[in-house]
Amino acid sequence: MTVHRVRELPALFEIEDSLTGLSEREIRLLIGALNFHAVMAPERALDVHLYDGDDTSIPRLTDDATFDGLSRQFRRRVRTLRIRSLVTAEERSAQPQEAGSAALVAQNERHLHISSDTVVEKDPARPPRTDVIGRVARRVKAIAPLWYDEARDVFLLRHRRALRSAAPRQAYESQFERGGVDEGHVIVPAGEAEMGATRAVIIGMHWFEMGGAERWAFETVRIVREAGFLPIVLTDRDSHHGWIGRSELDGALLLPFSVPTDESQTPGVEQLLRTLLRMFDVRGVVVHHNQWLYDRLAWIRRSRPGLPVIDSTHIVEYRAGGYPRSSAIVSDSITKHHVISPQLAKWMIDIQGIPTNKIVMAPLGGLTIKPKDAMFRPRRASEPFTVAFVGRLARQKAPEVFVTLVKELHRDGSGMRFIMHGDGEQSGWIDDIIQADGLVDAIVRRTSAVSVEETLSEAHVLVIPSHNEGLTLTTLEAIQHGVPVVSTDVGAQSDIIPASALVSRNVHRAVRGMSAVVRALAEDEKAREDLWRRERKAEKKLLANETATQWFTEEIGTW
Amino acid sequence: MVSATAAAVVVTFNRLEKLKSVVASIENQTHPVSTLFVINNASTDATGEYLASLETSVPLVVVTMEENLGGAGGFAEGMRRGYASGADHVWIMDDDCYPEAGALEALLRGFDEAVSELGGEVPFACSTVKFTDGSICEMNNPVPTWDWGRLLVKGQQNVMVTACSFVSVLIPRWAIAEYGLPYAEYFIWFDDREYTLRVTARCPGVQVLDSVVVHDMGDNRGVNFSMVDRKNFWKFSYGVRNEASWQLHHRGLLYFLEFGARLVVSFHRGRVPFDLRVKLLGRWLRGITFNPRIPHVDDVS
Repeated sequence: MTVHRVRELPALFEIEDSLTGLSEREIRLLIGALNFHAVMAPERALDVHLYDGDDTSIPRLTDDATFDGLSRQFRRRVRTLRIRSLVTAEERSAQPQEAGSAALVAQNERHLHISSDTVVEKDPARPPRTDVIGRVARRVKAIAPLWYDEARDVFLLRHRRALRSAAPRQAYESQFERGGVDEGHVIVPAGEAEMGATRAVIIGMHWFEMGGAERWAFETVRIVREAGFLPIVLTDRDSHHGWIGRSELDGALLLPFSVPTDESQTPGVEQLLRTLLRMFDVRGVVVHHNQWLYDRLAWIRRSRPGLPVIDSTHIVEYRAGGYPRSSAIVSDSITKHHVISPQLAKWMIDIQGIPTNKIVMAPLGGLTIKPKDAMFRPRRASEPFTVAFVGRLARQKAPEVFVTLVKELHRDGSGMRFIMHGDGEQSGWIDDIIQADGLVDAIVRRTSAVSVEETLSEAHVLVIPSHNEGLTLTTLEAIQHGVPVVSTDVGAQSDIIPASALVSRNVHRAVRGMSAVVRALAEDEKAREDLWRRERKAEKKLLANETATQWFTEEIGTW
Repeated sequence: MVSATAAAVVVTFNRLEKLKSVVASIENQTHPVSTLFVINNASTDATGEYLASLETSVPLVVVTMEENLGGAGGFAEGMRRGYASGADHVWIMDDDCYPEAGALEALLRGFDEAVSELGGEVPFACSTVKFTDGSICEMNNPVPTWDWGRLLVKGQQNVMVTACSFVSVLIPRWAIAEYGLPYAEYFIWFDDREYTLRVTARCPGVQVLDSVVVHDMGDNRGVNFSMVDRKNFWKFSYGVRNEASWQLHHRGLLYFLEFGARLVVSFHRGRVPFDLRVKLLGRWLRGITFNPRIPHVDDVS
């Protein structure tokens, strides 16, 4: 079967509009949303209204309000398109439980908001609270960011138990029995794939945004396509999807969700997935941090019992375990768990009790670095000692710890130079802290518009103060550029960083520890080179393992 | 720029013959409506049968309410439906309002002209409401702003207003998204005044003078609190409670007290029967605890 294309992308609908005036990102978002609605309305014509938005409005693509139009986000209509679904209708009797979905789908209009590229270029608008409590909280967070972190850690202690205990396995069938979360619904497995259906692989991603995990997810899309399958890529997080235009997604059938989709997708029936399984010869499923897909793996396996299902996890979140725990819960529906560090593999086996033969440890080498050719970069006499932070300005990356470290190192007139490279949702808070600490002139700020290579080519040490990590790609990149790394002891960082350059993840101890290590490295070039060599050796050892790319390429060759 | 669409909303209750004229008037518009929503407020006459077999030249959606929710509930439901249809504007009216053929076209043109002069926050455009004899309809005169002639001197046919009744009002979807829907709990009376005052918080609306509708209301008289009698008491009962609630919760205690004093004076002047006065003052006090929440299109029902 030939897959229809619109603007060179696989599309499950016909459209007469040439979609002029839209950027590549906007077109892909739109085509993705229309794919979803074409699946949900087989053989029908739909009038699709597009609405404008502002800095605060996120794309509305597939959520239940896109069917009934009942969202305050749909303020001003800018365009109406007519599409005709190329999806064939399934011949089967609907279950009574599908009535809600059927009523939603029965409308002939759809309502979408595609955010413009100008919104993506800005940080997300987060109007600060203007009441007294909000103002005081903001001031406290700016003046004492680390105490705010400490308080937050205490608050999150209740989630710790989840990290040290085995997650209960999902009992999918029981969910539909009396007292289960899906009581009253029935499981209706998908029908057979149509004759001559295109071979495809379903890939679930978190979103199309920048990040180490996403780079690997994009890589798997590329490998799937190059292996001769149609990648069907769905995401389950609201996002502007700044990276949806990446070349890895060329030729992929895109389905970027906006949430919630609860009403349109009936438990046990799974209208979207059942249509995909019928229209395409799905040969496997890959999950990258996509809870929606995790929740439906059991249904997929029930529909296609022999289907290979693999997931890929990177990091055990200290808040309830995150995706590795989600993965463990549905492990019975997963044929292989890919992890990127020995530490996470150990957690999966020892804590979660997953059989060793289901775990594949394959690091993410080769995504942004070439494992060979690395050389230590000595500091020239004319260069000020440069300390760099590279990462999103997000809670996980602890940029506030870096700013406090700068304050500590800047205090005694050490003459060091500091670069803070990245942007993100906490940039407003970071601005407040820098302002409150009087460090506006002391820190060179760089957005992601500047290449990481440029910053690493100037740095003498990379500081990773994260609250939480897997094994950061930035660590591998820095070593590749001849720059040693000092890090908090989180995730699998200890697989690369020696104990002498690892500090506690407690924020106050992290600042004290990093301050001492950085000062020592600034004063002793030999020690700095020794640290790099030890990290380089550990990196080589890690990358001597089969890389994730090599393993996945072999794996998919069997599909 | 896309050409503007408008969904018409007609709320009806037991006025079948008038409703037929309203539907015909809407079908006859020079700017066709995108959808006609008829909200049948649980009519007990033959309205249901008529609507069940009705075929119109414009897309028609009949919504039959399980119970009579009053004009307020009917308009709230109709506006929600009109918004959900994707129309750029919702055009609302009662079942005794006959728009002239060019009424909607003039409203859309007048609205756009007002926007070009006042900016994008113009929250509504309403029609000139005539009685069946061609005179002005006493009950449906909008409240002008102090600078009501600002657009007239620019050559427009628009008068700036802050409040009007729900007899041919064009409301842009952004205003519904931002300000919400009328209070269904009001049931009848003051729902239109409250809503139009709510949406004119930042910018006035306009009355488009060459958009004309006929209000077939039987008796062309204005309404005030000296006119209470046993027959119309039930309507005043809602009106007093609704306005008292609004005065107290949206303006302040002094306005609430002033409204109470105004009621007393009006009852005295109109020689309203004493027992009705007592009951209505009870409704005035009811306004203290009656304070509905603003409904929005995405409220979960």
